Parts: sequence; structure tokens; C-alpha cells
Amino acid sequence: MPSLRPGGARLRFGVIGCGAVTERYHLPSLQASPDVELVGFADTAPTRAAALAARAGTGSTFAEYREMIGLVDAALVAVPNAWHEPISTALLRAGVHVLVEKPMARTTAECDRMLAAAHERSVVLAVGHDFRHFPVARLARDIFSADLLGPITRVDLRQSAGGRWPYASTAVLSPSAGGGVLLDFGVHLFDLMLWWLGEIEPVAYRDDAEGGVESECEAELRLASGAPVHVELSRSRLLRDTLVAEGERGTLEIGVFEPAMVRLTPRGGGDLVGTAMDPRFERAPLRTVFDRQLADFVGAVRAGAPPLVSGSEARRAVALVEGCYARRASLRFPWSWPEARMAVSR
Amino acid sequence: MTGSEALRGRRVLVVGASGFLGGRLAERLVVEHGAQVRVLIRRVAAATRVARLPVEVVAGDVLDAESVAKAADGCAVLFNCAKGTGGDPARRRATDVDGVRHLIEGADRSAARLVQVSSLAVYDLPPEGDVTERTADAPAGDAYADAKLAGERLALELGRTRGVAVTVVQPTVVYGPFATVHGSDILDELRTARMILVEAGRGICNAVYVDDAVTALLLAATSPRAPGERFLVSGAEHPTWAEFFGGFARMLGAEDRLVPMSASEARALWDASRRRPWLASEALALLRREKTIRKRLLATREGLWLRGLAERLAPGRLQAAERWAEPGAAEDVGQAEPSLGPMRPWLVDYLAKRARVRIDKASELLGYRPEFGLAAGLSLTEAWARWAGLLGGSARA
Repeated sequence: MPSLRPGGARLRFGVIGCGAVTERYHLPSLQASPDVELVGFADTAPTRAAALAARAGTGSTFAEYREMIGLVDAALVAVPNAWHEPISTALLRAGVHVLVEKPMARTTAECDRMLAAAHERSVVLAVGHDFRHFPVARLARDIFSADLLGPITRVDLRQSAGGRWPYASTAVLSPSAGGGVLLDFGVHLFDLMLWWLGEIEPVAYRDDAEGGVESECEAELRLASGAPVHVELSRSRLLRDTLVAEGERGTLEIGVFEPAMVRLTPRGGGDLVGTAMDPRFERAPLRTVFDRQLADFVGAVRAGAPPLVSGSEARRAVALVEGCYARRASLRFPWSWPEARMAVSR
Repeated sequence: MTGSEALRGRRVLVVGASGFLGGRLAERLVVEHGAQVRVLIRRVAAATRVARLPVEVVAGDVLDAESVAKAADGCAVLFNCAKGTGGDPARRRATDVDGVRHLIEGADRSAARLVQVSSLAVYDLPPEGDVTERTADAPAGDAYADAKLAGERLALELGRTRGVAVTVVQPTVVYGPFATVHGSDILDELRTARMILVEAGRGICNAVYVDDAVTALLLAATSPRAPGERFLVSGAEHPTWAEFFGGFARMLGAEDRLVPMSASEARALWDASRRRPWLASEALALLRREKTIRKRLLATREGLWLRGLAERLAPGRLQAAERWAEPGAAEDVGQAEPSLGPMRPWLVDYLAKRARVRIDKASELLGYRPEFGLAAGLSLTEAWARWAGLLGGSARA
């Protein structure tokens, strides 16, 4: 097993990609962790790497992430989507444990190259689906596992995405990102649904991309039982921001975050509304979630065990996104151009 | 009709493309004109909608000469749809004035034309009668009008001295899908409160559907007679404010929320309201209007604590309060009479006016012919509002 250090020694950690998510969430968690020694920062924008190294007060900056190979045991890969696969694969092949931001990659083919590299060197490949670490997400999984609702008959998910995120670059808006709201944000929710509900397959999919990346999408999916799943994601609208699962014995509504809530309505009466009590989460929701994600990753590296969201788990969400894109139809509106003009020239 | 071929394959820059008018302009430039569109974006998250199009997204700021120069490089036309926003008046004015200076420099270097979007607000609207490009300028004192006027004067003057083809377009009341001021803001207001209809809504609303305004911008960019001129751009009709606001109220089934009142009654209501309000009532009014703020506050520790407290003390009332907080429920139409907010005196005066904007100059020199009547424009706006969940219910159901 390469680069697994003796218990007690800190993991030498490299940070690759110094954008908004690293600055706001990963870096504070890495700094706070007693298990981590920050060795270096790399970014294509040297000023970003230098700024984060200065903020951390430790670690060097590297013009090229490869220069960190041999100096680190593990790395965070939080770069634009197009680079998830090549950078992660190179690190994994060099025996470095990798925590890569979501989406794991743009396609299952890219995921497979990463998985093969991790397998080859027996290193940990974890994917940053931090939503799994939200207290409500675990509670929901327990409710579904306990089969409180009976067989699920229908699922409806509406979620707004990303309106306030302080992106440090325009990479997320480029077609090279591999997709828009579905791949960038919907992949979180697909991962949760797969974790909660088991196998899901795509049926139909529409989005508003017209040569760029989609801002709005609607997906029709199907559970293994055949129950329909309707998904709407939007970068421009305020939606309900919950998932509603209807079962034969009742209905469960889940808001993972903003609102963080569960509402369980058994058929035949009663209504339980609440949240998963978690004082640390109440104080600093995202900090806590990223702390737990990092602790899970470090624990996996130390134990040589799979993390909560392993590469093979995360690949399923990418596969579902890919299945949607493969069925893509255009999402048009009466006010689109030229439809609007045709409405008045009739 | 808008010189469809003139921009095909040409590189153009849209500043303000994350906004309502600029966003639709970018869409038409791509879909209808086959232009190579570049957009200058200050905040990446605000540009996610325009990024659905094959546009080149450049991060930068109209206040930064260097980023404007880079964005303008190689462009045949620069469209300035930027609007100063935010609470800082100096920054707003800088966007409207300094931004123009940087764009003129960029246009000069690339031999590009500049289409400067201004506003009807630059004119001193008479109480009655016609408004044309020869109508007197608005008197100084209103920050928005002052900045817009300074921006268009600077654009035309620098255009003349630097030999840059500058055209100023002055749209009137632009509405349509994704409009905020004359769209979602009106719906948000009518969904939560009653609204004064000044002089029973007999004032003239010089409304222009967004696609007509965009058509005028495209003509201004391509017409040989456009440079050096300023053009008022309005719709073909002169509806009243009763018809305009009434259209939005009908989308909500809330016609009774428009309260007809004379201008002097409206001013008296404002004067009476100037007594200092309680913080709590102001905060509550704000929460009712602002969905995003409400959601964020209710997700805070204090919000959750208050909720927990309410659950213990008065479960029945909490349920009622939650219905109130969810659009599509008690906040919506049909509940106990909602509040009637006072209206600022300048707005009362503005809505009472019966001035009619003439579009003869744009028609004659640019060949501008508005195509969207109020009924058609409102119908498209309603389809969008329903989809966007602004009418309560459906999108969030």
C-alpha cells in the first residue's frame, strides 16, 4: 500500500484548484483537521494559489500540480470539471489518495479511467458529494431503509441551484464543463436519490441549452419498481427545494438544506415535521458538512476502507446524468425566440 | 426587417447580458442573427442563464478599462445594456458614466459601433401631450435620470470627437418574461399587498414588449442612419396604467388589489405614513415580500429556534403562519385584506401623467415597427410568470 503513513502521523495534503469551494469550505476544514499537514497549493491562476497559501500560513505554491507528487500522501482535486479525470488519474497512478470534487467526472468513461487507476494502486478515491453528510440526508436514508413509507409510488424533486455561489472563474459556464445545472448541481441530488432509493434509470430529459450549458432542466426517471420520478432544476427560478416521495403507506418530504427539514405524513392521519437535531450543524452547516467529509476521507485512507462516497458510488450519479444527456430534447417555451414572434405574426 | 444578415458571423459584445434586456438581446443575436456573441460578466453566478447560449463569457467589469478593452477587441458592435445597481450611488453613476468612456475607447480601437441603452427617464415628461426626442431634459436631482442623461451625452459627445458611431436608444416601460421592475416586482407586490392605482389608472403607460425593444437595439446597430442619433422606443399602443397593472393583477386573479385613488389622496396617504413605523411591522412587511430573504432567515439558528418555540407554544398558529409563508397559500389572493403600502410622491406624479411617447423618429430613420401589442405581450409574460412560480403554486407544487 503506497504512501499510507504510520498511524498518528499527519497526512501530507496537496490542494489542487484554489477556487471558491476550496477557499470557503475545504481550506478551513483542512486547516482545522489534526490529521492533515498542508504541503502545497496549485492553481492555473498563480495568484489564487498564493492567496490561499498565505491564508493557510503553511504550504508552498506549485505552478504544476505534478510537482507535488512524491511530496504528498493525499490531494484535494477541486478544479474545473474538464480536469477532474486527467489530474485525478495522474495522482492516483502515482499512489496519491484523492478527494475529488463533484461531479466525479463528465462521463462514465472518464470515471472508469479514475477507478482503474485507484484500483491499480489500491488508493482511496473519494468524491465530494458533501450533501450526503447533511444530517437530514442520513435521516432520510434511515427512513427509506426502514421502509416506513411502503413501496414508493412517485417521487417529485424541485430544486433551485447556485444563484449566490461566488464562482472564482467562468469555467462552470463553459461547454467544456460537460454540462450545466444537471451535471454541476443535479449530480448531488442524483447521488442522494441513488443512495436513498436504489437503482434509477432515465426515461426522458429536456433542457434549455442551445449551444451553451443548461440553466433549466426537467428529467423523467424511473425507480427499479417502475415508479416515476420527476426532477426539475433551475438556475433562474426559486423552486420548492424539496424532494417528495409518495409511498403506499405515506409521504415523505425532505429538504436537505435551506430548508433543512423532513415532513412525514403517514396515510390515515398524522403529520410529523422536524429536522435532524445536530447542534454542530445548526451552528455552521457547511463548515460541519465539509469537516465530516474530510474526516471520512482521512478515516478511509487510514483504514484502507471505502469512504462514504467512493468513486464507484459516485460513478452511478454520473451514469444517470449521462443517461439523461443521451436522451436530451430541447426545452422550449412560448416566449422563446422565434416562438414569441410566431405568436404575434399569426 | 432587422437587417438579419448584417450581423451574421460578426463578433459583438453585450454588456449587461445577465440582465433582462441584455439577456434577451444576446438570445436574439445568437438565434436570429447568427452573431458571435461575447458577454462581459461581473458576477459569474448571474450569467448562468445567458450561458445556455453559445456565447463567449468574459469575466470583467465595465468600470475596469482594461477588461472592457479586452472584451471589445475585434467586435463590430458594442451594446451597452449595463445598469448601475446596488446601494452605492457613486458606483451606480460610475457604471452609467465611466462605463461609457471605457466602451467608447474600446469601440474606437476596434472600429466598432456603440449602441448605448438609455431611458425615457432622461426627459421632463409633461402632464399631457406628446414626448419626442426634442422634449426637454429632465431637471437635475433624480440620481437615476441624472446618470442616464450624463451617460448618453458623454457617449454622443465622445462619439463625435473620436469618430465612433454611437446610437442612443431610450426604451420606455420595458416588460416581458424575466422583467423585474416591470414584471416580477409588480407580481410580488400584488401577491402580498394592495397597490394604489393613481388617478384610477388613467395615466398613460408607454409600455414596450422586450422583443420590440430588442428589435430597436438591433436596428440601431445596423441602420446606416442610426449613428449620432437618439431614439425613443416604445410600443405601438398607449395603454393606461389601469390596463398595464390590471393585466398583472388578472394573472393573479387579484384585480381587487388595485385601489383607485386620486393623486392628492395618494400623496396624503404618503404624508400620513411618514410617522415612524415600528421595526417589527416593517420587518414583517419586508419578509412577506422577499421570498429569498424569508427563506434564508427561517433557515438561521434564530429562525429555527423561533420555529421550535412556536411549535411548543402554539402549534395551531404555527401551521397558520406557515401557510402564510408559502406562496400559493394564505399569502396569496383571497385572504384577509392585505395592506395598502403608501407610494412615493415622485411615483404618484409619474403614474398620473398622460404623456404619450412618439416613435416617429425610430420609425422613419430605423424602420422600427413594434409588433407586440399589450395583450400579446402580457400573455407571454403570464406564461413565463406561471412557469417561474410567480403566480403562486404551480412551479413549487
